[in-house]
Amino acid sequence: MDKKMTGFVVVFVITTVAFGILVQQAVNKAESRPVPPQVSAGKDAFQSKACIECHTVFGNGGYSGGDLTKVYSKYGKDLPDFLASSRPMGSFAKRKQHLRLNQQQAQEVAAYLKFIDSTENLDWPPRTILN
Amino acid sequence: MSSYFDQFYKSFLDGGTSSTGDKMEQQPELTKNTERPDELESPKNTEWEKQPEKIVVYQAQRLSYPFALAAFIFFGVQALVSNGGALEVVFPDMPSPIPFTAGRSFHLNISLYWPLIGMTGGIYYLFCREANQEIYSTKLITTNFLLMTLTLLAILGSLVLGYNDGREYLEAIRPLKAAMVAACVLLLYNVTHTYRLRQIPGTRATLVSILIGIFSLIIFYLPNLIKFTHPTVDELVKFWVVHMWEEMCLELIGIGVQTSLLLAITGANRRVMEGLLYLDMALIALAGILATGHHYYWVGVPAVWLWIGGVFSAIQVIPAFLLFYSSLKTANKNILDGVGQREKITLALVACSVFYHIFGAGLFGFAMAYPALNRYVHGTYMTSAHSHLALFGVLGFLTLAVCFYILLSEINLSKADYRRCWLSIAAVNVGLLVMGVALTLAGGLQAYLLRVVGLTITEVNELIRPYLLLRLVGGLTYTVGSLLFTWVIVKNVYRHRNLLFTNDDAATERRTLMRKVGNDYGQLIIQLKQARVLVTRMQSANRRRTVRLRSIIDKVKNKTE
Repeated sequence: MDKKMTGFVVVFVITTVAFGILVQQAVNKAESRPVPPQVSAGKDAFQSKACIECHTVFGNGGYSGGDLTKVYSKYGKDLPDFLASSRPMGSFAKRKQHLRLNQQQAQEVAAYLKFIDSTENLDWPPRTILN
Repeated sequence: MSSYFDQFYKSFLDGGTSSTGDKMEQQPELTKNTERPDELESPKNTEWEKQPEKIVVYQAQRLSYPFALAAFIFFGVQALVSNGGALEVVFPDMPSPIPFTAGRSFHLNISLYWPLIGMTGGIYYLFCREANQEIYSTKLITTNFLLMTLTLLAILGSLVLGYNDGREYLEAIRPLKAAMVAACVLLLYNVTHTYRLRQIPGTRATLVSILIGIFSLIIFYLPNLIKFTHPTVDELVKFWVVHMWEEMCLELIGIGVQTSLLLAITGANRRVMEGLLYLDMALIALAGILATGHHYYWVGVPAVWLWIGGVFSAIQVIPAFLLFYSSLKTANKNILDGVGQREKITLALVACSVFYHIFGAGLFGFAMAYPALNRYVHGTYMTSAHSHLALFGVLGFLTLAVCFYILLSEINLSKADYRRCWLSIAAVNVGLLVMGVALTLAGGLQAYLLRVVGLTITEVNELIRPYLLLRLVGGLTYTVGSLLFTWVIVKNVYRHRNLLFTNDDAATERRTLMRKVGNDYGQLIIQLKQARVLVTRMQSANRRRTVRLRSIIDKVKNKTE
């Protein structure tokens, strides 16, 4: 094998392994906080409704619906009722209604969002500067 | 001099089969070099290069046409559907046949997979050429095409029907994701076996780049078939496709395909580029893998990831510049002399890809990945601007370049159609740039109003509405361009369908001739230019030989006297 090719393959393998180790450490840290079954069910419900297409969680997702990382702090225990209520889409929609969850789904998704809210994520999103 | 050219021209038209055998013996060097213009300037010949090669039209090249055609069709459909979404963001009350969630996931999935289909065609077309080896199994190519295309159709259909896995970019339900992996495994299997059968040294950078690219495509996709319950872990693994595919795996494949394409068009010296390519590939692997960290900043990982993501995102800019430099190396100032429209358009598309690689992906991405700035602009339309410029800008244009080159191997477009192609490329570029600028402004304002001023998302959306409208204008311009391009290609392929998709003896003979002469006179002129270099070289060699002979004769004369 020629030197350049060996060099490339070595860089590729070492980088992949190093990345794997770093990710494993991050996973270990994250999993030190176990996921309760209700949160897991909430995650499934959140995914089945494809909420991520409009909203972001940890800043990843769609950009029109707003970030949900700290939404539990905003609504607290009222969150399940809010999720189950019928309400307009927000923004400039006059007729369009936001998707409604049933009571059980609302409870589960609220638990999921509470779990997200309490994740230590280097205090993102930042506190607003002027307000 | 003219007799040389006459002979030379005849050797082109004689067909590359046994009839040229005698000529090969008479002029081995000449014949060999006409067959492999990309090796023309090689200073030293290695053992394999000394053997005269047969001209072969690889079956794999013919079988890659459907991939290129499918990629063009999906490219057109993508733009159409995306405008629906862009419209709905600005006018949410507008009635829509499918929900926004289905539309957006449709857009994301088609934008991820159509370049994959086009690139797969590109791999089949160029890998054989680079490896000087027919594909291991032609049947597998057809299977691969059917599996890949039908899976994508099934993914898009299921998303429209509401089956959604709810993970961004990976919305397809799990069995369909598994089918897509299976298609990639077929590709890897076929290409690896072809690589093993090759008769040239396996260290060719383009081959290694494509192989490792496909391999990594699969290993980083596989974990995404597993269901993760922990939100942080889910995010970590998700970016192995969302980030790693675009900025590492497909970039490795892309660099291999792009270099093969440039070598085929410009006939540049491979040896000069080989070292540069390996350096580029190593940097792509190093920076591409570790820069995944810039997606991990805020998902619940230790703060060390701010450093990893920040530093390696900065390094990621280097391969973009290196690729630009290596592309320039293939070019010389006479690059466009005598080059046909097909080659000019392909080169223009590659140039677009390189431009967006540096500005849209490299510099824009680097600025956004700087942690202190990312804290504010993350999760805004700015990310959307970056992904449009990077995903379509880099990979989309490159895929279009290779697909255009593939589909025009045997057919020629009319002058009006070539003009339409240029027009559509201009429209796509203008549209993409308008979208990029509008989304960047929308994202910047969103970041300022949300995170500095502290308005609610509803208020912010009202304020950024004009920019989203501007994005829609950009999107429509893009769509006009992409639909025109797709229409020109589909129309011409349909018109020549018998010519492109038949495989009898006559077709093989024609393809052999096409490969020798090129599909238009431009290619012929390039080859004649290269021939002129050869003739000059041979003449000077003859002159030296004559001088040497004369001196020997003189010596013999002297001795006999």
